[in-house]
Amino acid sequence: MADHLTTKERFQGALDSLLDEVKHDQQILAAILCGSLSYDVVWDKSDIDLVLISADDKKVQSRSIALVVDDINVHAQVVPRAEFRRELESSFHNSCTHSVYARGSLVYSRDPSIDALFQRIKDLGERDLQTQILNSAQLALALLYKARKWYEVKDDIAYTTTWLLGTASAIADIEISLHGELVDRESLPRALPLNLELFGVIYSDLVARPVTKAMIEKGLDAVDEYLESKADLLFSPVLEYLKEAGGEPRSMTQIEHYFRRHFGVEGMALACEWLADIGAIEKASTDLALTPLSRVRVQELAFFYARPD
Amino acid sequence: MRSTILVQGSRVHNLKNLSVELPRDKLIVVTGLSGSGKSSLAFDTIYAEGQRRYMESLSSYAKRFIAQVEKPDVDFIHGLSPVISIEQKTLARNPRSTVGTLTDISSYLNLLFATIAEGHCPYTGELVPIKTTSTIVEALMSLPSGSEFELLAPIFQIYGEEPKVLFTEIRKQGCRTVYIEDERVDLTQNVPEVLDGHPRMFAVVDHITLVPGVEKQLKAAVEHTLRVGDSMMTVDILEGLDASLKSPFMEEFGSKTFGLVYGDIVPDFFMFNNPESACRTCGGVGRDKQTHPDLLVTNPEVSIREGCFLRDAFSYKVDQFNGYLLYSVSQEYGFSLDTPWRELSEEHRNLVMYGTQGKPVQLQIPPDVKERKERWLRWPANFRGVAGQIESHYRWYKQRDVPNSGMEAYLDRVMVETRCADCKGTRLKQTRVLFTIDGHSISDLGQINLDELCSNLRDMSDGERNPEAGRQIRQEILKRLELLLGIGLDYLNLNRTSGTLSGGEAQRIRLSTQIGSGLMGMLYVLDEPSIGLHPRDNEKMINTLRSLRDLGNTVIVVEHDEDTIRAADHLVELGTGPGVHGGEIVVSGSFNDLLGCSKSLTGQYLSGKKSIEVPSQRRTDNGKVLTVFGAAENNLKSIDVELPLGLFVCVTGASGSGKSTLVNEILFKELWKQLVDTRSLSGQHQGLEGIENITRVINIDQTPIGRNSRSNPSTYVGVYDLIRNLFAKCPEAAQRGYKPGRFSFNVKGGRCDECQGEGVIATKLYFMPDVEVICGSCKGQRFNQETLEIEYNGKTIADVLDLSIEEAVGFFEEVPSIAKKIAVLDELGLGYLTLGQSATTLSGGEAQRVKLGAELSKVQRRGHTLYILDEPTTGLHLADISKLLECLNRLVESGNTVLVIEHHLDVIKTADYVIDLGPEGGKGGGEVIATGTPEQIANTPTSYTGYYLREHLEPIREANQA
Repeated sequence: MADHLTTKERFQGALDSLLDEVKHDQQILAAILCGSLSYDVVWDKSDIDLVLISADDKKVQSRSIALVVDDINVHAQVVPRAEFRRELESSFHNSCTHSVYARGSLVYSRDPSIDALFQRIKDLGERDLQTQILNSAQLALALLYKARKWYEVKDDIAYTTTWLLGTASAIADIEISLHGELVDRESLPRALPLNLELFGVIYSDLVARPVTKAMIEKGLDAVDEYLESKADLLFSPVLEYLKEAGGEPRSMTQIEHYFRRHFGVEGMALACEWLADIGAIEKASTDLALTPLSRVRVQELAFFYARPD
Repeated sequence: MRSTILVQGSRVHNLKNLSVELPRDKLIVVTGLSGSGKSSLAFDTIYAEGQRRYMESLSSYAKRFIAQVEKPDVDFIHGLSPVISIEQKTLARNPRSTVGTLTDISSYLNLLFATIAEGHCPYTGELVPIKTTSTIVEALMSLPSGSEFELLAPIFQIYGEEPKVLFTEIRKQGCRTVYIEDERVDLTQNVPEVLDGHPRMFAVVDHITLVPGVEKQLKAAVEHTLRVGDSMMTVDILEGLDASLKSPFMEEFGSKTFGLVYGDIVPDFFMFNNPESACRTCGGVGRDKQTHPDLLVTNPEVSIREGCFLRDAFSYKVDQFNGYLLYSVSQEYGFSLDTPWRELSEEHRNLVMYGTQGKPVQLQIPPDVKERKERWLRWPANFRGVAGQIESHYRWYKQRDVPNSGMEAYLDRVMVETRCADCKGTRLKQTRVLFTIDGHSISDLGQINLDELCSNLRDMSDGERNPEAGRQIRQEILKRLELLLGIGLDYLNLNRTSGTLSGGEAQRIRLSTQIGSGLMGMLYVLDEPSIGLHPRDNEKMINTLRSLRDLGNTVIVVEHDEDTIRAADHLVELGTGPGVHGGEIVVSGSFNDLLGCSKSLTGQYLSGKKSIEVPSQRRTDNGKVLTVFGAAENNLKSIDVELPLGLFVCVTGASGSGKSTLVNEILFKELWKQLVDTRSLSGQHQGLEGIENITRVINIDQTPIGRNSRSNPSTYVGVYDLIRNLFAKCPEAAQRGYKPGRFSFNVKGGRCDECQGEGVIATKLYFMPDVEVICGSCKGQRFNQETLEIEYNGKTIADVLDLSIEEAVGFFEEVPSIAKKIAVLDELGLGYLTLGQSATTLSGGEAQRVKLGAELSKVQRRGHTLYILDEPTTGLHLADISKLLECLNRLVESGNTVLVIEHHLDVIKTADYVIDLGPEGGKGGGEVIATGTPEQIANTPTSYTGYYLREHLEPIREANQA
């Protein structure tokens, strides 16, 4: 622990020295400390992640620079204020960019508007939360499919376990989001207390004990049950979108286009297929010409919503 | 310095080693029969050589970007200047090209608006100050230190889209917060699904606190706000200014009610070809696709179940979801799917077309389904309607912005292009038309006729912003406009799309830009500039040519028009006949030399030795008429027009008076719709009576008879099939088992494999012209050796295709089915074309006559056909016109009606009935001025056509009396 404290002090000292210098640079308006020094524990191999916000000028462009202070590496990013603002405000919250900033700390600022901007970074909007949940749920489905295949087709317990642990990580993201918290790279340990029973089956047991077929089966079923029970919540943008069409099938091309455009989410086919499997939506097909010159029409996968409200 | 241009030994096309010396700096007219070699001399020799020599002077690098010209087959040409050709070709069909962009007047108008126009508030219409980014920043920097404010950009819902599309876009531009009216909305939350009415919306683009050194940030933030707000912004001061000082500051800063200010208005702001300024729905073309009930319901006599809809649009399949849905709609709204479409009430038809407008329908199971899908029972479903679904598909397709020709073809079948409902055809974003000068937006000025625009600009106020600069720009625009008015284009407007201009109009626009350039020492070559001009406007054109000459240029005009010939300083007539009979100089000299030359056909017509006779008696109609009621498309003033049948009828009037609109857009399209294809959409009119009096309508226009080199006159009139049959029946061919297909250059087997029946092999070179080499295998004969061994009456199939039509008539004398068809072409003056001449080498006039020939050869006595021809005399010599009139009269004699749009007085005077529109072009036209025989028209004082016709008929009448 003493070592850690010493290391932390060393890193903090380096950061302070750098900030002292930076404060004399009229072009730098603010500094945001990201990474482990901001919210976690540093160790000898850590570096300092620092975002330096510069005044706007046509000559200044965003760039990454490797600095060194007191023999400690600083991974610095210089970002003009306008770009920083745009990046922060336009990013779907809880996305990667947002998560980096949200776990960071504003360690220096001489522009009050940056303080205000930084203040509200932690406010999670419902729509953004929904986007993150959709992303995670989709990932969970993809990993679950893999796990099932390696178990049922190839009977490979070890590799199935790897996929199942991956699924657990995606479900951890979902749980964190459902609790209105920020997702980051270390969601799994944070999600454990939120759903002890589920993570016991799909994570703790699998890493703590020799894995058996029964454990795998139980894990896979638990994920199935979890996703199915929350399908309406996890995939509500998909259901809403199809519901809007009023029963008219929407082709996969249309669905992909819509989610790419409005949510920045790709690869919706798997989610739609799964929703059709559980009876939440109906599977259909629409005519498609493979090339603009093709005369032959093939059938493209399509889905429609057809459930009583 | 040479005072002449000497052409020595030209052998281009049919020119027979022709040599001629032409005076420089003069107006020279080249005339002669169609096919006599006029264009071969003017364009393919003089222009081509001038152009080639210019190209030679370019670097190899530059040559890569320019189409290269082949060296003409001529010994030498001395005395050439830089040469510019102004041809008749219609302009590119690019919908972004307009009269304004062609003449560059749009660019100046954009500049004028950026310089002096006043901006208005989109919500209240009140004046909005126009500033620069710097002055906006300066104003904000004048606030007390420590002040806090938000920069707000007005945002507008995207036409036809849900609000979330707008909010997603705004979010992508870095704005997390918007105001909808006065409610602050965080876009990270769920956004409103529907907006009531058109609420006022602002995006919060930045939040600034005035601290020392903030100026750069503020400037960047203002620039970004103007980008988001489409060059419009306002500010909301949160802290630092007393309430009492806020109002005076805002009054000074922006508009009265919302404190709006426009920033950095540049000419591009008004340019519809700039993506930032173009209407978001139509992308700046002013037209968009919409469904049209007439297109979708192709068979209104049958019911929905029986298939009243176009199959591509909708077909009722009871077992599919849509079948369930439509059945449920019919049950809920009380109509039957078995009632013929025509008998459904208006309300029910609208329901099926445009849906239930968001009101869900509970699904029912149709009684006749094969498999009852019980789980669908009572599910609420939204029915968007047949048209609604197509339009939704269209919007989605446009959003994706991925061109797909299959989808385009589908949309063309089910939708029709119409004025963009978002920009109302202005092509611009709505914020652009908020700028006005004297109450006119840039789109308003683009819509009015050029003469009106000219007087508007003359009377325009200078404005307060930049009066001096505004005056200068107006002068530049007026200078250009006056050139256009000078050549009779006063009826056009700047917004008119280039693709809709006739070849003559396009040529005159090019001519005006050339005069505007003020260059001297040039050589201009023009192709029939008089085409499409009313005699009234012809004088203006001749004066323009003279002024081009007077600037110090040589002007060579290929022309048949009498007035232009008379105005020439030097005349060249080629002849004596067409094709192989031509290619020689008949006359080269003055007008008097032409009149005195006994071999000159032109001279004989102009001296009155030969003439097109005025019929001694006009025909009387067959007692039946076709009547258009309330024709109101374009400039037509809701006119009723009666067309007597069984006659040769001419529609006349000044350029732009509405002739083509009446005949092509209304009469032809409506008849086509009633008689052939219900999907044809005619121009605006109230009704058409008398359709029962005709059985067919045929529009013989000037579009090519084929798009590639494999189409030719013999394929078009249908004799090639007969010729191939003849060859297949030859004993040698029969013995070898050759079928007719063997003698086609389109089919493998008989054609040359090396060139695939083209006769030439084209090689693309990098910075030299494409080289077409005669195929080494077939020696240009297009067929393989085995096929060429078969001879019919001593000629191979290749020899036959090389025969001129005139020769072919004699060759096939004993085969009446062939001879009769090609004899008609010969009679139409096309004897010089070869049977196998590629369609791509035919002029518009030649193509039109080939089509006419094809029609004449199959003329039927049964029924009554209405033939429509638009300016069939294009490119014709008086002698050719005489032949053409004979053929047209034959169609009438066979009991049909011929309706021609024409300016040529020699044609008008022979008509049985004339419909004269006018009196002017554009807004000043669109009325029926006179109807009746040419003599009756000539006696109508208000008719311009009458005036010129009187002048034309008077000498004939006097001669007859004498």
